[in-house]
Amino acid sequence: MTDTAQFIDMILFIVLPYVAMATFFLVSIYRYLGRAFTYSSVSSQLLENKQHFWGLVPFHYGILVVLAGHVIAFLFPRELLLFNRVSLRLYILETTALVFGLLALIGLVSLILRRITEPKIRVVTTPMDWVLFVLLFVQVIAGVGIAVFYPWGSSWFAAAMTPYLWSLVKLQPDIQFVSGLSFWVKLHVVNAFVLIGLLPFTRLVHVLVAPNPYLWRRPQVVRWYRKPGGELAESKTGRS
Amino acid sequence: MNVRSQVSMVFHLDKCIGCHTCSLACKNVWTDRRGAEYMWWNNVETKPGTGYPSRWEDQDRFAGGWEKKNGRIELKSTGKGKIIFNIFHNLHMPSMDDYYEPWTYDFQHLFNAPEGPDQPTARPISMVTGDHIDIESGPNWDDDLGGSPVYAKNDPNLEGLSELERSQLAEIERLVFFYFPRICNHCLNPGCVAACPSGALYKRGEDGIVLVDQKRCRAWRACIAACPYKKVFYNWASGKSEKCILCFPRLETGQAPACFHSCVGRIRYLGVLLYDASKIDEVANLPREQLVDAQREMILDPHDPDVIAAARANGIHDSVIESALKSPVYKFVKQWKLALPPHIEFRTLPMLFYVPPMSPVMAARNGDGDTVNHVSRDFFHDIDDARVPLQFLANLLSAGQTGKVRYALRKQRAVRIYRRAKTVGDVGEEEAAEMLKQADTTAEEAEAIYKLTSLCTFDDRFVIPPMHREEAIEMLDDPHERRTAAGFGFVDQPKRGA
Amino acid sequence: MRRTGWTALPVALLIAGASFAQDPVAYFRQNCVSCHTIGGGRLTGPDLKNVTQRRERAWLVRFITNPKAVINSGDPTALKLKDEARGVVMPIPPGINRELANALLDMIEKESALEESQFKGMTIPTAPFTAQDIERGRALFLGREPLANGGPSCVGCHTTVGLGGLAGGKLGPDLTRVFERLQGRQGLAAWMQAPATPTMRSVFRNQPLQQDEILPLVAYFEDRAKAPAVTPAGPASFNFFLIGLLGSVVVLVLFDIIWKRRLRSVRRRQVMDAAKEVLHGD
Repeated sequence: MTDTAQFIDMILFIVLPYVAMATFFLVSIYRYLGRAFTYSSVSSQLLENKQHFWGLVPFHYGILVVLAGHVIAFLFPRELLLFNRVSLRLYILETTALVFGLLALIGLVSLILRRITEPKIRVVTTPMDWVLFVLLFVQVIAGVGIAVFYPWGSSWFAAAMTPYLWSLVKLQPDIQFVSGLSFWVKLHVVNAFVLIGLLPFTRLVHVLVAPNPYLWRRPQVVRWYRKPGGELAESKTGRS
Repeated sequence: MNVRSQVSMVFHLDKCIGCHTCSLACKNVWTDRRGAEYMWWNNVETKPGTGYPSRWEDQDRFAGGWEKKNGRIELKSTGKGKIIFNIFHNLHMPSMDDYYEPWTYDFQHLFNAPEGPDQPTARPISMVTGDHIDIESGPNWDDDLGGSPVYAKNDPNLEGLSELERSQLAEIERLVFFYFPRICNHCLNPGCVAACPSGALYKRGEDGIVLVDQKRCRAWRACIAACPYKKVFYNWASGKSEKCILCFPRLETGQAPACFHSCVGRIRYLGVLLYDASKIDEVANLPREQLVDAQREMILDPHDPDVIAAARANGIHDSVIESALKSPVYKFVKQWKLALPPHIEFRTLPMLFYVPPMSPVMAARNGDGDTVNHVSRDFFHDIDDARVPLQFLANLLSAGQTGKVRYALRKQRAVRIYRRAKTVGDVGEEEAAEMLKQADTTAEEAEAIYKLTSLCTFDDRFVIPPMHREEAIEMLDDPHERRTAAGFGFVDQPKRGA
Repeated sequence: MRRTGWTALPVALLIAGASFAQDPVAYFRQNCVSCHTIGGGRLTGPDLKNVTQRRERAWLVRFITNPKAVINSGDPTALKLKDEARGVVMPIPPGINRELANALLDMIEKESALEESQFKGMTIPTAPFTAQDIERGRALFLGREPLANGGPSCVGCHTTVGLGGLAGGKLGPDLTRVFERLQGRQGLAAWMQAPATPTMRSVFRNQPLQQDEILPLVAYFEDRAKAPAVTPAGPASFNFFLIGLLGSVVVLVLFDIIWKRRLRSVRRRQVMDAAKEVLHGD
């Protein structure tokens, strides 16, 4: 029994993460170089714009804040633990995380309902969208469930998950950190890696091309076809 | 001086008969694809009316174009700071409901319907879902004042009109409308380009055509809201924005764009304008009432040796400068001051200009019911008493300044009187000369205006500059690559989801 | 062939992961001392002094490599051990194999012969703890006083009665009665010195608790164990969820207010308004 469990743990927490990360990088880059046209958020706001607001806005704000929390715990575990020294700070942090987690959940449910009930939106929904919805739903439900039933994640993530993730990064995977955790935590971790691995095959690629040069470029873009460098060098003359 | 050339346009509204041939030519060439059915890169609106999408000129709702804030212009919809927070749900983007849901008819049913007591009908089918729908709106739903209590009455250009003027517009005896064909204005300070978070939209340096790089478009939808003319559209099937490309593949082979080429009323003119690109920012920031003049000021005289030298220095080809000398647009806009920019108060500096329309002859039925009596003082009515209130035209074409419109209309009237004196003879030569003087014109100019308005040939109307594609850098590129970057056609199948 | 190729990676990684503790002394320190001493009396598990003389070596190896299997097989000795440990079953030592088990037994044999083994365990004072000890234990538990070696404080995963607020974490077990479960001061202290569950072991392996941190914590747990009733975990979670839900509703309302000028419908509203006007006009 334990041998099998150990073997499954190894597949899920060592093999899967590496396979997922490899797929993520290779396929995203390949897709960007070879099929840049398909990099799009394929918005459906044009077809329906009321429920769109109640789905997209809570979901994105929720998921971004929560993801940011995960990244912070991954990068600054020690600082986070020190921050949590005061119980009140811990409670505020955890409550904020839960609020945004719930926002993500509410938004996601709203989005799924929108996909089901709006005939126009159904037309533009692909099977891959459904796979994505299922995975995201499992992920968010598990996340919220963990926040409620296995507190305080901000502390134990920094203590147990961060070393595990770093052990993966350092190519010395140590699954002892995760093998003893509860089913929901394991589900959340495994599902996260599945999502990362699947990301380049889905519309989620739009997170990779989230616009940042915009904030620094000059407002007007002019492309010259006759000047040396042409489109590739793309002379971005401003309004001057 | 930073001289650039721009392929610019004039639409002579006095000649537009509202036949929609241009729209159909465009639709058949460019937008009869899945996801693009609802798009009309070229459409013809009836004014007064709310147009397509409904009330597009109402920037309180659609937040298109630029606005001045603390002395600087900013995009009204999503500027740099705002985009981060509003990228998930575009606050000002119209939904398909504000355009219309495209449909076809279930024609097969006419053939396949089982025998029954009723004639089979072809019910409308949505081109989005394929389900039967109730048609609520169409691309020119308010054509010829259809549904005017809903549409004509809500025309944003009625702002500033007196109650009397408004009520007269709805009076059956005085009822009036004119047509307003629209394509992308290929602006000098385009809101769509400035708004695009991915930098997918760009203005071509050589001819000023504004395009969407389909490969870089990520469907952030900022362009749609930022264009105050609502001339960037979202293709819901491919997840990319699309817009009028001024038929550049036709232009590059010396042909006029499809809508220009097919125009029955010969209302469209196309030619090169040279302008000073270093002034774009300055002009766009000027107070509202100076915008029309300032934009005219930016447009440079191609006869001026200094301008020619600067143009050459900037790499503008001699043949293009030559073409600018013959440009009908230059004559209408700069020389004759007949053509005016639409809604320049949006501050995008549109490069499509409109010659304001003369109103129909004003007449009233006499009491006996059979004879008609001219109401205006003379045969060609007085401009200020025109059935279309001057203010209305001014709101549409000159940022609310009636003077500009009055000038253009007076000149047009003077040309008519001048021609009448010449051909019919019921107007005296002196009276005609006086009229020309009052309208700030001369007999030679009137003759030229008359010729370019009434006797214009293809070559007069469309002075297409050589595009010198043989010099273009992209001759070295993969043509397939080029196709997707240039705003039309797909190498990859436009598939959603994956 | 393909199958072995596929499984080779995790197996190799496991071996690589386990090899860190091949030295029996180090291994014993890391994995065994939380329950066993050599000559220090029983903790959760029995004192291992001279264990090789009490039992057959073959049996011992069999037991060490898979305690649960031996117990499940109905072996009377193993069942008796389980009873003595109040039902606590020894977990499979990580990365154990026959060679390692033998090496451990050799090491135990050697240590047993010594006057005083290095694994005699901690000596915990039997005198009652002071209120200060308990208070410091509480501070350590809550993390108010950070652990010297940088380990995470208990409250992230554990709770006890009387914490107030939203109580402690629930990833790990409630520690209110841990003092009894681990059979008093000795057992508790030994556990904390080298926690035996996989997660705790991993987390504290490189940042162990210090001697002067263990004592106050033991004091705190001993004090907690005296607390009368055990509060169920339910209400804290439920309250927490309610607060979260309330918060998200507030944020949703905020969204609606912040973006109240978002475009909803222009054309349809225009038609409705006109229709209303016509109706009222008549």
